[in-house]
Amino acid sequence: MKKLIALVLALTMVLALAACGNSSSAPAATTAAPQGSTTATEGSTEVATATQNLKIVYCGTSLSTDNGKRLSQLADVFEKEVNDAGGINGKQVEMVVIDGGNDQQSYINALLKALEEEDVSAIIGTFFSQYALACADYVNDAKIPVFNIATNFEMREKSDYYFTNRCVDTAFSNVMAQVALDNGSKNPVAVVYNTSNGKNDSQFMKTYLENNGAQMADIIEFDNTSTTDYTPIVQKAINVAGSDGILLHATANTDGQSIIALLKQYNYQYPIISNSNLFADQFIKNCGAENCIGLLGFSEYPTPEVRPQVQEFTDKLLANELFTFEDVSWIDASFYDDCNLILEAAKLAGNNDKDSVFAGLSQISGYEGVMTSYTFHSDGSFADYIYLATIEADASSELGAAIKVTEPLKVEH
Amino acid sequence: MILFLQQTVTGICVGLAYAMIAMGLILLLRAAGVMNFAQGNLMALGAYFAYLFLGKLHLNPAIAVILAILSLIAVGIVFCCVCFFPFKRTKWPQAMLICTIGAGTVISECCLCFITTETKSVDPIVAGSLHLGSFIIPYQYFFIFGVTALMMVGLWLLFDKAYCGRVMSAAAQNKYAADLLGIPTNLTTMLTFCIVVLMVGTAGWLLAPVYRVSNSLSIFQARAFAALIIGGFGSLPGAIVGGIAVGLIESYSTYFTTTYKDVVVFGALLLVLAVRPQGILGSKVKKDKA
Repeated sequence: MKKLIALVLALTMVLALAACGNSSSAPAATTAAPQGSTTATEGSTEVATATQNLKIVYCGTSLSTDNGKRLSQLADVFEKEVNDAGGINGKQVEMVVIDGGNDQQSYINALLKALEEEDVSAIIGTFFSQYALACADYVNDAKIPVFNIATNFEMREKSDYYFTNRCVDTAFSNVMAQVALDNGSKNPVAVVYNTSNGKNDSQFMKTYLENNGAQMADIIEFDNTSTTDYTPIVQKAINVAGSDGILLHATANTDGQSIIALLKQYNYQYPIISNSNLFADQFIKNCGAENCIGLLGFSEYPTPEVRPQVQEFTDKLLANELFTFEDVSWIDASFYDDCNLILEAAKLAGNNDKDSVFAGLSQISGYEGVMTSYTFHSDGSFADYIYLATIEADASSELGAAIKVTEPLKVEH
Repeated sequence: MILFLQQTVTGICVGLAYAMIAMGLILLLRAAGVMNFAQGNLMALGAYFAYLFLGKLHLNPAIAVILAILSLIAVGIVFCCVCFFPFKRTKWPQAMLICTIGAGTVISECCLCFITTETKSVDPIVAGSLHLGSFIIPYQYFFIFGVTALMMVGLWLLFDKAYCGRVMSAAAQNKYAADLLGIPTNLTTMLTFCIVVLMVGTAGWLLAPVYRVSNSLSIFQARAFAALIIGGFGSLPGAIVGGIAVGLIESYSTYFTTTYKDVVVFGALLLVLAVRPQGILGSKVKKDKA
C-alpha cells in the first residue's frame, strides 16, 4: 500500500513539474512578442503581423439593465465589423463580456476575472469613479490599459493605465461655472453628490467662480446611494439667501431626476446648470420633458447638425441586425469610441498585445471618433471637444423636448 | 421660516408613508408572527405598478387603479402562500423571516426584469404646486397626506368596529381558540397579508411622483423599522406617531447635514432606546391591552 501511495505521489510530482514546464514556456512566447512589436513601432516598413488577437474585455456594470444589454450587443457589432474588414495587424478582434454586477464588489470581482483572462489587450471598465479607484492597484499590477466611462481626475493619479475617452471632471466643472456666469448667475449654489467626484467638482467650480469675480453661495452635498427623499435638499438649495442659480452635479438616475423635477415643482426661476449626465434623450424620457426644459450645461454627445459622424453612426447601428434597440444613445457612441481608440492604438503600435496598445494610446492624435475628435492627453483623457447645450421644448420631437447643442468648446486639459 | 414650514409639511407627509409601512409590519407580526423584511420591496412594487399601468401601458387612470388594486391583492395572496403557509408549523420560526428577505429580493428582481431597470417618473395625480407667497408645496403632498390618513381611519374602522376585523384580530391573537370557534384562521391571515400589501403598495404609488420609480424606494423599510421602535413596538398608534417623528427628524436634519440624514434618524432611534426603550406610546398601549 505504501509503495502504491509513493508511486502515486511520484507520478503527481512528475505531472506537476511537467505542467509548470508548460506554463513557463507560454510566457516566453508572449515575451518575445513585444520585441517584434517594438521594431514595428520604431518605424519598420514591414507590414506587422501581430502575435495575438486584439482581445478587449468589457466588464459591464449591470449587464441586466438596458445599458448593459446595449453595450454587450455593441461589442458584437464592433467585433464583426472589424473582423469582416480583415481584423487588425493580421489578427482578429476578440470581444469578451463579463458581468460586473451592480455594486462595487461585483465590479472588483469582474475586473479581477478580466485581468486573469489570457492575452488581454485592453479592458473597458466602469461608469463609476469610485469603483475604478478601488481597482487601481490591481490594474497597476497587471499593466493592462483600462478605459473607464467615469471621469474622475484622481483615476489617472492612481494608475497610468487608466484612460477615458471623455474629458476629466476638472474641465467639466470649469465649463459649468462659466455657463453660470454667462447666464447671469454670480452667486450660485452647488448641489453635488458626495463622492470624491462631486466634492472635487464643487471645489473646482468654487475656485473658478472666485477667480472670475463671483462666489459660491453654498455647497449642498447629498448621498446618491442612500437618499430617496430629495425634497429637503431641494428646499434647502432654493432657500439659500442671495443665491441666484444652481450648479447641479448628479447622475441621470433617481438623484438627477428627483432634483430636476422638484425644482420645477417648486417653480425655481433661476438658471439650473447641470453636468453632461443629464443631457441625454434617455434622461428627458425618464424625467419628463416638462421638467427638463430650460436646463443649461454641456453635452458630450453632439447632434448630427454639429457632427455628421453621429448620424452616420446612428444609421449604421440601427441597420445592424446584431443591435436590437430602436434608438442610439451617447453610451453606445462612447463605448464604440473606446473600442476604436484601442483599435487605433494597436494599429499605431503594430501589435495587439497590452504593452503595444498601451504604447499606441499615447500616440493617438486627432483621431475622429463619433462623439468628438480624440488626442491623448497627460491626464489620461482623450476628448478634444465638448458641446455647450440646452434642453428646449420641441414639438417635433416625440419626447416633447430636445437637446440643442449650440457650440463646440475646445477642452483645456 | 419658509424653509421650516416647507420641511414640516413634507416631513409629516413622508412620515405618514413610514407609518403605513410600520403599521403593515405590526399587522403582519400580529397575524402571522413574522417580521416582514420585504415590506420596502412591496412598497416599491406599488410604485412600479403605477409606472407599468400609467407610464408604460398608458391605461386610463381609473382602470390603472383597479388593475393595481387587483394586482396587489394577487401579490398578497402569493406572498402569503410562499412566506406563511409553508412555515406555519416550522420548528424554527426565523425561517419565515428569512423567507421574507428572499421574497423581497425576488420582488425587486421581477420589477427590474419585467417592468424597467431604469429610474422612471410617474405623473402626479394633480400637477402643480400650492403657492402661498414664498411658501410652495406640490399638490401631490396633499394627496399623500389625505390618502394615508384615510387608509389609517379605514384600518381603525376595520379592526375596531367591523365584525370582519374583530374576527381577524381574534385569529391573530389566539389561533387555537379561533380555530375552535370555527373562525377560518388561514383565510383571515391571508386577508391580513392582502390588506398589508395593498396598504404599502398604495403608499408606493402615492410616493412615486415625488420620489420616482426605482428600487431605492425599498430603503423606506429601514426608516419604518425606526418608526416602529420610536413610536412603541407593536402599537398601531405608536407606528403613526413614530412615522411622523422619523419624517420630521429626517426633514429637519437638513439644517445640520444633507448627506448623513440616516445618521441623525438612527441616532434618534438609539437615543429613544436609551431613554425610553418602550417607545413613545409603548407603556400606554400595554395598559390598554391589560
